[in-house]
Amino acid sequence: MADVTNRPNEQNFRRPGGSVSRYSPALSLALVAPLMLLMSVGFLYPIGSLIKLSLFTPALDLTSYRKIIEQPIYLSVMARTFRIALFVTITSFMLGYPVALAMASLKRRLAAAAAAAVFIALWSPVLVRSYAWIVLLQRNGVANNVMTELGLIEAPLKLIYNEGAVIIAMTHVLLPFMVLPIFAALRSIPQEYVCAARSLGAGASTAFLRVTLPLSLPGVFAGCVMCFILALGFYITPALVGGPRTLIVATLIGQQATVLLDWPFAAALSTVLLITTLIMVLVFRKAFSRSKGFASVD
Amino acid sequence: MIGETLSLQSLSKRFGRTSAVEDVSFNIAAGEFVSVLGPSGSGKTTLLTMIAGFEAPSSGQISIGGRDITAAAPNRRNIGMVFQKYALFPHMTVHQNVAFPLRMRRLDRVAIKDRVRRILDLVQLVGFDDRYPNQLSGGQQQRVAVARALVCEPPVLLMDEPLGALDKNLREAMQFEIKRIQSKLGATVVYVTHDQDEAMTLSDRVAVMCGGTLVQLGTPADIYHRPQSPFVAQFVGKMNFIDGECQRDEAGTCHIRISDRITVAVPSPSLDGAARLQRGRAVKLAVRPENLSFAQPDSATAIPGHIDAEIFVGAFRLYLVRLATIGQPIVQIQLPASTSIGPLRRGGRVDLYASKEAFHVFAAPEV
Ligand SMILES: Nc1ncnc2c1ncn2[C@@H]1O[C@H](COP(=O)(O)OP(=O)(O)OP(=O)(O)O)[C@@H](O)[C@H]1O
Ligand SMILES: [Mg+2]
Repeated sequence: MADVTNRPNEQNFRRPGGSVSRYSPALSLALVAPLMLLMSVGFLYPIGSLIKLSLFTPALDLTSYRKIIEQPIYLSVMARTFRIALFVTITSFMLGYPVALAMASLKRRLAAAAAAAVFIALWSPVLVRSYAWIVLLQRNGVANNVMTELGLIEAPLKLIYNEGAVIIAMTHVLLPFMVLPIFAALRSIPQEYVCAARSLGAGASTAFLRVTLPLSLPGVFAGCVMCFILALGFYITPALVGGPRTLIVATLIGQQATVLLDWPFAAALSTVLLITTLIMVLVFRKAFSRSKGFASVD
Repeated sequence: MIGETLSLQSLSKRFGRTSAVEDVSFNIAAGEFVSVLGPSGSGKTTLLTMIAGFEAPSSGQISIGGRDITAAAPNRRNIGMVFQKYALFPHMTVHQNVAFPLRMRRLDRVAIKDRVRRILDLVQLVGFDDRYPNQLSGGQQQRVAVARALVCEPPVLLMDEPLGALDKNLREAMQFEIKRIQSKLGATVVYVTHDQDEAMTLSDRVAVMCGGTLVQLGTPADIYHRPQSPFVAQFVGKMNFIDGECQRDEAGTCHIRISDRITVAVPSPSLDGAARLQRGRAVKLAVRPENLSFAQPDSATAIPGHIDAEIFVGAFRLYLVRLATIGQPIVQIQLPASTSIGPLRRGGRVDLYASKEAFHVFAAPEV
């Protein structure tokens, strides 16, 4: 009988991945080269010239950045942008997680129907969906009419052109970006984990909180980052359903670049947005990798 | 002793039109080790998932310790389960995995620590507490899975092909270990496998399943020596089948004609309580390779044939012989490797013998 406890590789860690499945460096370089080229021409170069534009006129000139810091209006626009993005991410998560959970636990045909609903939302143009919210929320729009008919309100409410409307409409537009990664993560969790938790004495909700939720965190992370970043740079929806008091960075940049033609200032705003976004992603990552569910999922 | 009795009554499960488990009933004594053996798709996993409560049976009843649990939630059944792929929680360490059922039962910190340490000691995994499952070998993961299922001492332990993923040596070591832990704790075990050797070595009794039904339940010796159907006969161990026709069935002896000139006398199936065979009924005569020989014992009928091949298999020698009987089947004869049987050549004519008791008779299905 072999002595199981004294096998030589007992102390070795198992690491998946061997050299067989790897491409040689030269081949992988050749494979990514076209994309690298496209990225450098279409992404890195513009970003570089953007940053250059914000710093040099043509000599080094920090007035644009000083303007952002010194004039409170711009900082408050920044703050509002992040606040809206945060709210949108939170509401998307709260609304999206149950949807993803339902999709993942439905039987094949119903799940396909639910996925189709999400995808149709994803594929229909942002402009259309934003206008739809105007139709719903305006002074004599559907929402006000229904509430007046039902006698819930006397006079029409002001539902649109405020921060609430922006958050609602953006949540609607960004919801698929939250649902799909979470759904993918939930789908990849084997049913056995939940069965095991149940047979070990966990009730349905405990099994969810202790097993399903932690194991779906990678999807939650992906969805949140996607939503947050898209929300930070969102342009169309806030421009349509927002008002003068919901000015956010993207709209501001648009104004500066196309109406006021202050390109260096627009460039400086863009650079600040880009850098803060990068910092936020890193912070998110750090926070999520702390939680045990993230790092150790196979 | 922590084991409790487990009893299934007419348990059935249908998925749409397919019937995965059909009318299965058996009683398992407290502390008994029962293997469920069957080919792929015979409903073994489905049976376990019903006992564990992950799937509701279409009909029938399950009770543990005399208590009906057919409708109980899985977390209220107090059944330990070891999954085929272990299902260790990947985001928890070994310690957290094993402590999980104890925390679900709201034991205090000290008690949890103590019991986890004791069970890890039992499965010889002390010092692995802080590893994550993906940092363990297959055998270690398997032991963690067993420890996690056993730590709160469930009266019934279900195991679904827990050793399927392991290599032969490790599998044998783990079989030994599972048996040791089980007899130490006295748990009632239902152990699913499609490996007949495993089922034979581990079990007090073996339940053979085929196509969703329970075809035979008995001790390993019973299953091996007294198979009740051709399916069990060929599924457990090796078996030769020879077509024949019943001539007479009387006084406990059945005379089977297997060619124009040869008739063998074998124990009648009526001795096992089956109906007597009618004259002219087509039958299958079954005999295991190790019960055939070339040497003539007393009063046995010779079955002539020609040698087709000789195979050396280490511990024994295997001869393939084409019989001169109905359908000319090829039968296997297994002899000790040391036996010298003289100059037997390919194509050479031989006579086969077996004692009367070595034969089983199965009535061929009526057309
Ligand atoms: N959820 C399901 N839906 C439909 N049919 C199912 C389902 N689960 C099992 N079956 C069917 O029930 C039958 C028994 O399946 P089961 O998984 O119990 O087999 P098994 O004996 O465990 O096989 P294996 O040895 O391959 O694990 C199979 O024919 C299978 O196709
Ligand atoms: Mg199975």
